[in-house]
Amino acid sequence: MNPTRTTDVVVIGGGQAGLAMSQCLTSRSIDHVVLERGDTANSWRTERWDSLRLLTPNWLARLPGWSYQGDDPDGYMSAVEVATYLDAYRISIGTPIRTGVEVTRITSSGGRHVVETDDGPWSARAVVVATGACSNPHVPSIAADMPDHIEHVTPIGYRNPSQLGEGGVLVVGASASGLQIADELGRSGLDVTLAVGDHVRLPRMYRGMDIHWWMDAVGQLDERYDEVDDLDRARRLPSLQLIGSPERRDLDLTTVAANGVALAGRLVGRNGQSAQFSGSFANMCTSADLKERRLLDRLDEYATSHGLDAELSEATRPAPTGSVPPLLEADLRSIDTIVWATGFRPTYPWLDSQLLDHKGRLVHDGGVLPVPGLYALGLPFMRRRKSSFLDGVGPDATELADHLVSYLAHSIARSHT
Amino acid sequence: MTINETPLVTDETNGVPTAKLFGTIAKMKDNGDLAAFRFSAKNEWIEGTASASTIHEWFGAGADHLHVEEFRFAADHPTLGHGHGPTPQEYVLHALAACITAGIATGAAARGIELTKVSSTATADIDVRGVLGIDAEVRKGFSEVRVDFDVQADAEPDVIDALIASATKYSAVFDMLTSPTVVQVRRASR
Repeated sequence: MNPTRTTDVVVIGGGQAGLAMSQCLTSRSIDHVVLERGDTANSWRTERWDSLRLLTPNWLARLPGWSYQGDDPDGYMSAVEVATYLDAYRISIGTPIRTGVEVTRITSSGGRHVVETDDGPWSARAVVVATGACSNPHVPSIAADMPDHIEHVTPIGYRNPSQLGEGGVLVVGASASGLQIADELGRSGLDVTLAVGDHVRLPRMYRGMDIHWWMDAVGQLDERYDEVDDLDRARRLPSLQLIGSPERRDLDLTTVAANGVALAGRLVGRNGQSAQFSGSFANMCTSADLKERRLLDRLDEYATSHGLDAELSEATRPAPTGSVPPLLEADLRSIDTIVWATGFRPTYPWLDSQLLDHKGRLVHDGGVLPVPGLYALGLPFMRRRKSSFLDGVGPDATELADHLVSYLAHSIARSHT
Repeated sequence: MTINETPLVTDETNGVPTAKLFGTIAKMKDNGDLAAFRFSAKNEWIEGTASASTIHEWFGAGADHLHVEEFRFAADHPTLGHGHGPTPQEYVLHALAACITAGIATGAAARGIELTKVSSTATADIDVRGVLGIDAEVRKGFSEVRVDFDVQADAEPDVIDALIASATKYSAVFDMLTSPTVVQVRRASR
């Protein structure tokens, strides 16, 4: 076993968050190491389906000291392109990264943190947990009630339609992942049922501009964690019903239904051979339509107050979600696969359980953990709405790096008195 | 355990004690045990198809409570009964409308919106061949329920729509009607 190595900061995770933090630490002359379980941008390489593209346009991929320089700023990177983009970033900033290193335990005492790994321990004065928001798919307990013949797939294990058999598929969850997968499976000719709960609907383009251009312009992505009414709810918000496609098409319940996907309410139970769905579908759609309308109103107000109305195309509003009677039951004998697109819940088996709340979530205030010297980065709405986006982790990394530098300076001062 | 009278409150918006509402939510976030409530109704057969329920005791926020009085509700059959009360199904419609209305009142109060009117009509369709055992393929319960709200308030129509949608989403009775619930019915041991 390797002897304990010492550094100022250990960053766990070599994705966008870990690299952004590394850049911030290097530019502040802080000695550090990035530990990555796989290769740089591991999730983007190994845990994304083949057709996946970013929901945000290429220009909206700014990282500290790095931005998109390619010839398609309005396009949407594929997962492999994101990995390549991050790899180039890593090389440009000279990140001290150790790949293929699995963290097994972090213990903290007397201002030092020991990070145990399968490659020996590290001792550091600060640790940044940057393991990502989308590595551990959450599968609800109802999955255990499903009949034995059913195959269970999560967005991390899903690659493409040819991986599934010819039988029917139930996709549970109508956020970006669920809707994109249901859409792709439906187009491939499979019988697909989509169980729809709470969802957030938005058009890809509005008045000739990408929806993320708008959200960036009006400052919606910059809303801070200490400014929103219900942070807990904001952090749990499902991802937007969007797809990054070359033709910039819309993806919503109406478009997937037009491709033959049968819509159902939220999956709520099993009764014999039937999957049961909630009758709340209509109310879910009404809520999503309303929220979409209110956001678009806000965008129109911004356009008018900034004198942009002449430059932008006319405001045409998406039609309300159609009132196709949703399914309340589906015969499980005709379903061979269930795709659980029911969100992600990061897990931290290597952290002291006292750092987690009763639901296993990291307890933190804008990324600052209650134990001095411990930080987290890249979680949903960590410090701002865009915290878990490629473009959003930079400002958070900068603020946390400042906090960390000041912590290191003070703890040195203390240890010398 | 103690028996408490439900306290009367005065600091209100739309008659909703907002400070108490937020205080209760905060307390339950910290202590999940306080969120365990239990309700019960005691029912007594009258004659024919008629019976009446009395509702008085309830448990919640860690203690037993009593409503300000024992409320009594009689129900009967529309064609076979002798008019002791509306049908049990209509009580379900009342429960749904009342539950969503309470959510609209609290939701509006929480957002500082003054309500001047909230009225609604809950309507349900039912094919009684199901309950009469004429056709096993016909569902016994409602095939569809609609609730139409008329809400007057110092707010834009979109805001009112959002109040209604949110009150519906967080309504216990709406959830009970739209999602399955385990129900155990048995003879009580004497």
